[in-house]
Amino acid sequence: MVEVKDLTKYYGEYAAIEGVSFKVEKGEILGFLGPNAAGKTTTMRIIAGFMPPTSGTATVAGTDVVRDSVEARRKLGYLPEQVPLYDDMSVREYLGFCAKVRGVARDKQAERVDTVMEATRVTEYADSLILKLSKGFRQRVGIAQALVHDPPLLILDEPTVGLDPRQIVEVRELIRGLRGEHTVILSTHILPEVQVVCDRVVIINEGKIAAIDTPEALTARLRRSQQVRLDVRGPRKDVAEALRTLPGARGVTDEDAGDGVFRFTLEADPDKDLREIAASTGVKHGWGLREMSSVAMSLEDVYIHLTTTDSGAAPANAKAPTDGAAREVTE
Amino acid sequence: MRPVLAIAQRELRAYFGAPMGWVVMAAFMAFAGYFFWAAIALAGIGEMRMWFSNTTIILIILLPALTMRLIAEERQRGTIEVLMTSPVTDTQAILGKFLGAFAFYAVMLLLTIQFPVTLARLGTPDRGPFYSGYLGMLLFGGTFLAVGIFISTTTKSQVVAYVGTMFVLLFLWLLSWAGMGDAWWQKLLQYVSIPTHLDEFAKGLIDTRDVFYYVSFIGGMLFLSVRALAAWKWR
Ligand SMILES: Nc1ncnc2c1ncn2[C@@H]1O[C@H](COP(=O)(O)OP(=O)(O)O)[C@@H](O)[C@H]1O
Ligand SMILES: [Mg+2]
Repeated sequence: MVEVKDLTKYYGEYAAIEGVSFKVEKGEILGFLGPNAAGKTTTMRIIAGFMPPTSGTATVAGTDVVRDSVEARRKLGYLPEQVPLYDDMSVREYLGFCAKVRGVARDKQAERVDTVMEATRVTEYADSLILKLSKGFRQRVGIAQALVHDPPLLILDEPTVGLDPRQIVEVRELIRGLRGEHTVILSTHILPEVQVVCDRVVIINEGKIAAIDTPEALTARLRRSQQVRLDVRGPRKDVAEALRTLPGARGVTDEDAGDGVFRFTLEADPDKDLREIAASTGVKHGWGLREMSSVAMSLEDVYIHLTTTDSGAAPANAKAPTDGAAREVTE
Repeated sequence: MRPVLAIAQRELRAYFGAPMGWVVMAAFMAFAGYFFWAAIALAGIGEMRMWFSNTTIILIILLPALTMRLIAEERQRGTIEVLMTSPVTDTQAILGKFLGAFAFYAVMLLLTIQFPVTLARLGTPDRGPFYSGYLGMLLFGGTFLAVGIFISTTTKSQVVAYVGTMFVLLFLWLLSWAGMGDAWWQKLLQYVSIPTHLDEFAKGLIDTRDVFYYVSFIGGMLFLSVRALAAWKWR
């Protein structure tokens, strides 16, 4: 449905995105995930035909968004980040205007407006001025606007930003309800959003693609192994050897935690939980098990990992980020 | 054409829905009424010629207030992103906006028809200059609106758009004063300045050269606006 090839956009000297390529299949919800200033909005504006890239191409259902811009725009609906709508119009008037401008047949316009108002549940505010709507309803009108000409592709730029938790849940539900009938690209800098809503994730950082995969596979990719951390009082070598020979274990590292206690980090196959067997092994040998925890890698770890250390686009002066700094980026 | 009409219609309604449209219209009617009354009651002139040329001067102040928001507001509020990701060409967007403002201006002019009608009741003046004068006023205002939409395209500040347009219009007006005389450069200035072309209309003569001048001036300005809009997106 969408094919993006080698997109690069310079604002003056500054490259907002560089060599961005990905595909979106028909009917899927693609999450475009990245910290602020990663280049999400820039990429979406280009796909939506708002501005041309410096180089590279993007096609929507086979139509080039630069060469055949108007034709490509017929096939998409776009919701910009700040939800800019004509505040001086009522919801019905505004959607009617959008339907007209997008080329909905005259005798279908009123019907389409009613349909999308139902779908986004704004019918009760049909005759209110957009100016008077709450942020949550405004967002829904924004989505209704993108849907009014029934385009195969929807591009939603941070559709839940600035909403309260209940509104966020509602808007996510609304978007999930579009799956199948519409192809959706949505951007977000909030991780749980892609886990909840998206079929696939493109992680973008500093203008470059860091990873493309399903949320599950992405998690698994960095969780090629899972880790168990144990603090044990006992003979360092023997304990390490005993852990290493557990079924499913891949490797063990150890460090001195002081007081005769050693900290072991046991790596194991992702589908095995070695905690119980590790514990009973320790008991069998009479070693003192002080503490044990499973260090699972969440998608959040993957995200932080990819958007900090692994980016490859990190500026020369950036030192290896601490955990705290990495988390800051995601907020 | 459909998107053009949809945009024009929206703009026209926006003028009636916001204070600015009413303020401009009320101010226009106040000045226009005063000039009419002054001509009839004070000077005893039973024709519209003076009225046309007086009224054009207040358009320098009023018409930029109509055009300032056309593109600048869309840029400032971001609504231009929704508009320009709709299947609408830059030309259609500019044309729609221009027609919306033009239609509002036409309504303003229409409300002044009462003045020549009054004159017709009072005496039996020649009707030709009314028709040609109004056609001239329409075209004349069109050039101002076209300048205004161009300047509105180059900024996202409505204030800058207003002040900028007013100064450009004032400058173009002054050209016609500097052009009073018979030297070749003065004739040239006369030709390029906007108000000179209105004189013949007001006298009752529709000269195709004047019509051509106004229409091509409007066309040129709209073309520049389209280019400015595209350049802004491509930057
Ligand atoms: N119109 C613009 N002019 C100059 N720089 C811009 C412009 N728009 C975005 N940028 C810069 O490009 C980078 C990417 O921005 P953006 O695409 O908005 O990122 P995101 O949506 O992921 O937050 C940022 O560093 C931003 O400052
Ligand atoms: Mg953004």
